Amino acid sequence: MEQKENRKKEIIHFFGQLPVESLYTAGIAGERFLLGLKEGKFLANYCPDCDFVFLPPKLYCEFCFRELKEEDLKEIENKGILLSYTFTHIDTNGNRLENPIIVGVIKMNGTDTGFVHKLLNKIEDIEIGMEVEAVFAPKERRRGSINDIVGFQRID
Amino acid sequence: MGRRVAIVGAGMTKFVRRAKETGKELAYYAAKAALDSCGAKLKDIDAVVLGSAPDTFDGVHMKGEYLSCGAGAFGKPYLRCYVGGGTGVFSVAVGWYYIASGIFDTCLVVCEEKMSSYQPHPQGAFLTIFDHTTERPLGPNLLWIFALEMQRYMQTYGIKKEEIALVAVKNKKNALDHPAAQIAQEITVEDVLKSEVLCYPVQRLDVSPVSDGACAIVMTNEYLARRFTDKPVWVSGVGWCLDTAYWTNRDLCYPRYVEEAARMAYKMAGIRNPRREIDVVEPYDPFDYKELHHLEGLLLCDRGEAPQLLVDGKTQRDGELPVCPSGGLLGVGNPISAAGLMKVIEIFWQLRGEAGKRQIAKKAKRGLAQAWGDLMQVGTVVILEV
Ligand SMILES: [Zn+2]
Repeated sequence: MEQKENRKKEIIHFFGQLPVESLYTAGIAGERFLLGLKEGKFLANYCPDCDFVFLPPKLYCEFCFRELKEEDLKEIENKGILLSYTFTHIDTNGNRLENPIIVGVIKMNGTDTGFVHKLLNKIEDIEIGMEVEAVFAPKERRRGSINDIVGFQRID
Repeated sequence: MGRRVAIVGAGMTKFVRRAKETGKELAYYAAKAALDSCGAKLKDIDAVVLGSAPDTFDGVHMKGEYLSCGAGAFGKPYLRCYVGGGTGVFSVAVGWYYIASGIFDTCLVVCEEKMSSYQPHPQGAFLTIFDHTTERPLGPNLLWIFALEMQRYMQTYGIKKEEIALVAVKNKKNALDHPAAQIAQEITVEDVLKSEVLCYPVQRLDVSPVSDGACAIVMTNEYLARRFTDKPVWVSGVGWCLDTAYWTNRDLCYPRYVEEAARMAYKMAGIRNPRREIDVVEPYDPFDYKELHHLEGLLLCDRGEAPQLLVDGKTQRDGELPVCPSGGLLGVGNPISAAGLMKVIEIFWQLRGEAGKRQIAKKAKRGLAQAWGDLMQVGTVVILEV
């Protein structure tokens, strides 16, 4: 319909934007987590009422609403199991990527949650159920970001 | 009219310019405080209502889903409601019909806003509310609407800027007694008139601030209310109404949409003469003139007469009709949806005699909270009583 109309005369139109830029805070629990990554540590927290370990840690247990405090944090070992993975060939605009990005969901040992991040191995070396560990950026380049972890790699 | 509905607990965070907490964490603190205030646990709650204004503020699309865990919604029926600035009061109307209908016995209502996320100024989030064909090419600013309304209001009734400024003076001073207040201060009419002109006649001190914060209440029915508290506060009326979507076609000096919402709530509450029957009121005051505008729309005085009530001191806490004893949006702050719920909570505390230094002088039996929003055309009203 629109195309047919268009052949007769140009449709009057306007270009506009929804300009949005945001400044996000990591939050109380998020900051604890990111400061841990900066030190090369995984900090999780435990809800004793639900016997559940959250990674990343939360300010509260969403199941029972208990407040999870600084002292409920515990460091977990840098080791987990790959639950699932994919390699993505397109970027967010639908353009073909030269090198596919590989992402996985990892269950870190001692936690009850999934953790999503990039996988560093070659596609042919990846399998569900394999043991993985995080590779941290060199200390001087860590700045308290999820990208202080470069990605996860297979442990053999 | 279904089951009687009570508010039995309330809680809120401080209102601040920029919270370190995430939106979820703010929602959690408010929700937990509301539950704790009436000895309730999350498992006692049947359903959760979330109120939050545009996603753009927090910078998270599908904000209702994002905030759900902080609002205590895991494993429960959950709904986000949204009527712009009117959301905070409207969310209580939603909680009301959840309980009144008998679908749920208990309901947690949580309102959150984190406006500081929006860069460089949350004002920008409003630029795209204007019509892209006839208005946006003019480069509009949200303040246009308020300035044009204010101008028309002053002109129609011969109201002076000095009179309107008294609202800002009163509310910012009232907020000095509110522990959660963001911009409480003692100022003079002179200060308001000398403050920066933003969009004539709107000046800096005529306007509420940008805020982060959250509020929550616990609602239940008449059968369970006393399990949670000895002092339930009853929701006796709710109302909401929409004016035309074309802001230029509305009566710029009279908020008809507020009147319609109020009439709906008064009828439900069996109120025939609101001027005699409403003891304390929290009308929506994002701008000082709006408090006056809304008092008239709520039929609590004649059109153009609200400034006189103010000048005569009748709207002070020790006056005949205390107005915004909390300190309002002008003094406590304006995290959109949370600000509206803060008003309902203030009436809740006033009626229970728990407002501390803000407690009004007269014995209050019935109070009203009102908000306003959408494209500046919705009125939302809640009437509470003990
Ligand atoms: Zn728990």
